[in-house]
Parts: sequence; structure tokens; C-alpha cells
Amino acid sequence: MSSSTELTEKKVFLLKSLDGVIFEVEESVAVQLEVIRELIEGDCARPFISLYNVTSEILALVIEYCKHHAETCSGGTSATIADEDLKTFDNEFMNVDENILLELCSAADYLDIKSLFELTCRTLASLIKDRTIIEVRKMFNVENDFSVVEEKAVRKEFAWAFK
Amino acid sequence: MDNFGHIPRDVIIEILSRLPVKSLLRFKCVCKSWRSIITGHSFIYEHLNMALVDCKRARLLIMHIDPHTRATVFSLFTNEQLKAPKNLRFHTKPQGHFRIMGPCHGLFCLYDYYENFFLWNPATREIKDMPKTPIRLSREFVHKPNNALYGFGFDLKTRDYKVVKMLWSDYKDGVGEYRVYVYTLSTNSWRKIDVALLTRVYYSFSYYNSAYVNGTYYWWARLFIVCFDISNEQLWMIRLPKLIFPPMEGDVRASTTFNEYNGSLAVFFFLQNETETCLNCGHWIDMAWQLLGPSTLLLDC
Repeated sequence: MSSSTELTEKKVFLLKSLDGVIFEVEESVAVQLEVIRELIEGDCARPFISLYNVTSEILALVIEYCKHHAETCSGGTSATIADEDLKTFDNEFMNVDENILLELCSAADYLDIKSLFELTCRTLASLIKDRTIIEVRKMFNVENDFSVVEEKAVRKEFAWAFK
Repeated sequence: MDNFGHIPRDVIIEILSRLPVKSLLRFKCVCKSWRSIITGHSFIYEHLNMALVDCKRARLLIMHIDPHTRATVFSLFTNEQLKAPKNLRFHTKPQGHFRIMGPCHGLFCLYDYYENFFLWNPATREIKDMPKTPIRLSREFVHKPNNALYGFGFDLKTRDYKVVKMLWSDYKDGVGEYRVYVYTLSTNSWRKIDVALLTRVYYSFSYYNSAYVNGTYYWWARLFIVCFDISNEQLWMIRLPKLIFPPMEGDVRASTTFNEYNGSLAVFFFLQNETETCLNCGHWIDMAWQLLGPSTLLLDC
């Protein structure tokens, strides 16, 4: 980074969601979205950026997450307090409906926010760990494309895992 | 056609890679796309790597024979108090006692006195019988426990498991011969390889000490350590400097042990001075030995 960026006033970006809602975010928040940071570094960032894969409901949550992380990291508090604070925030932040969680996870992947992606993946994994096959199919909206015979064979192979 | 609902495939992979093995074995039944991810080579590799990074707690595997059924039972102790073992059943009847090599990237290699080899994945409870060495051996090479030596490791380049087997003939009239075979899991077959090693080294191998560390298998051979590069399938030797490693014979050598220490080979041995016996360690770093004294080892504990 050149020193001139420090002298310029706080930059603001406008992020437009899939359903057309526009969010105003500061640069410190926007750069946490790796896709946007790359645009900024490549000097290709326009003040108005459309995010085609994220609904306003999810984008609002993503911005809340990035804002909190940006503020905690630059707040001047000691590293251990900041860590504790982020942990508490993350735990509470993950306390949402599982469909929202899935969408957040996909959004974190699309927007390339590593910490949020890791957090949502881990949360989802511990959520589904002990679920039945039918529950998992329903949650992920996938169809059973095995025939009865095929499914029986797959189940038989590792029968102990179903106990 | 892919069947991933509304979640991108890459995201599914990342979520699945954070699940325990037991859940994954069940989720193979979710749909064909999930099954193909879970059984894919790259997924298995990444999942294992994630588990290795995550798994900081030491575990202890103990092999014993059930006095009633005579079956081999493995007990895995997962906490420091050595309480409540999880028994891992092994259903193949071994001839005599097993010897264990590994764990290496999640697998163990077991073999019995009659050279029946097995690969064992305790996480999925799978056991694979390995084929016997197909090459007919002449009478001089008929297996005797003290005429054969094995190693088990992971080829970091091809991400494949390999077992190396060295056999040598009885030493007669100053002449001895040796053969080296390599088993590769992906092809499930043995083949002979041509490698050169001083014949006399074979007659000084120690059966107590061998280890796989970071792509190489090591065996102790008196004043040398014989190394086998699992990827390149090359043998070479490291000489033990007498200054660092005092001459070790008999029982003293048995109490010496090999292991991985901070990612490199380490030889742990006892040194006796006038007043006490101390544990020392020779650490093989950048093609040279570094001596770590008792104080260093204590600090690192």
C-alpha cells in the first residue's frame, strides 16, 4: 500500500444485492470480502458493485459480521480480549436458522470471506454430524438417486456406522 | 447429472471434509454425488490432512490376544489417564503374533510370522489383505524372520502407500545376496526394484528400530541408519558419528529408539555419566546430526 491511501478520506462502497437492495459499507469492511479486495488492489473497483449471488437478507448478515470483525481488530484492545470478543460474537452469530446458515456459507464462499466460510462450514458440520440420511437429504435439498438395492448395498458396506 | 440442491459442490466438499469418518460413511447413502465426493482420492487426502492438523492429542494403540477367543484385539486409548479403551476388532486370524508398522497417514500395516500382510484403516474399520510377493524365491531366500526386513510409508508425490520388503540370503563363504520388493497400494501389487546397498549392511540390521518420517523409512544398522525414500525408491545410508552416538551394543541398543521429532528423524538414546543416566537425542536436520541434551528435551515437553 502506498502512503497516499492513508491520507485520503474514508472510502465508501455501495454493494447491491441480488434483489436490488443497496448497502453502503466502508473500505475496512469491504476489503474483508476477498472478491472486492482484489478489485481494489487491481484498481478495478467501482464505487458501485453488484453481487449477483447474494440476497439482501444474507448480505445484511455478511456485512454485520465483517463490520464487527473489522471494528474488533482495529479497536486497539489487546489481542486476547479481541479474540474472546470475536469468539462470543461468532457463537451468537451462528445461532440462526439452518437454511440461513447454508446460505451464509455459500455467500462466504462466493464473496471469499475465509473466516466466515470456515465458521459456517464448521457449524454446519457439527449440526449434521449425527443426523439421519433422510434429514440430511431434506436439509440439503438433494434427491435420493439410489435404487433400493443400491442403497441397501452402500448401507451394508459400513453397517457399523449406522448403529 | 450433479445432484447438489442449491448449494455449490465446492461448499458441500468443504462441509463434508470437516465431518468425522463415521458420519461420512453414512452420508455416502445421501445420493450418488455425495458418494462420489466422499470416496474420491483427493477428498480422502484432504480430509486426512485436516484431521492430522486437528488431532493434537496423543493416542495409544495396544495389541493383545483375547484369552478366550484367541482373537487379536486392538485397544485404542484416547485420553491421558489410559481409561476406557475403545476396542477395535480385527477379524482375520493371524498366524502367531502380528507386528505393526505405522500409523502412517491414517493406516497401519500389519504382518504375521508367515508373511501375511494386511493394511488396516482403524477409522473406517477396513482391513485389506495384501497379495503375497509373486516372485518365486530361490532356496537361499526362503523367509526367515532374521533374513527379512520391512518398511511402510506414504509416497508424498503420488499420494500412495507403499510397503518395502528386503530379503537377503544366508551369508556363505563371504558372499550374500539381497532382493528388495515394493508393494504399491494403488496397483495392489509387488514388484522387484534394483537398488544397491553394501551387502554387509544387511547383516547388521536391528529389528528393534525403524520408523517412517516425512517420506522416508529408516532402519537402524549398527553404525548406520539405512534410509529408503518412499517416492524415489532409493536406498542410502547415514553414518552415525561416534562422538554423538557412543557405541551401543546388546541391551543398550534395544533401549534406543527412533521417532519423528519436529518433523525430522530423531534417535533417542541413553547416555551414562558418573552419577546418572540421561536421555539424549540426535536430531537429523539439514543432512547433519544435532545433539539435543536432556535439558533441551525437558524444556520441549
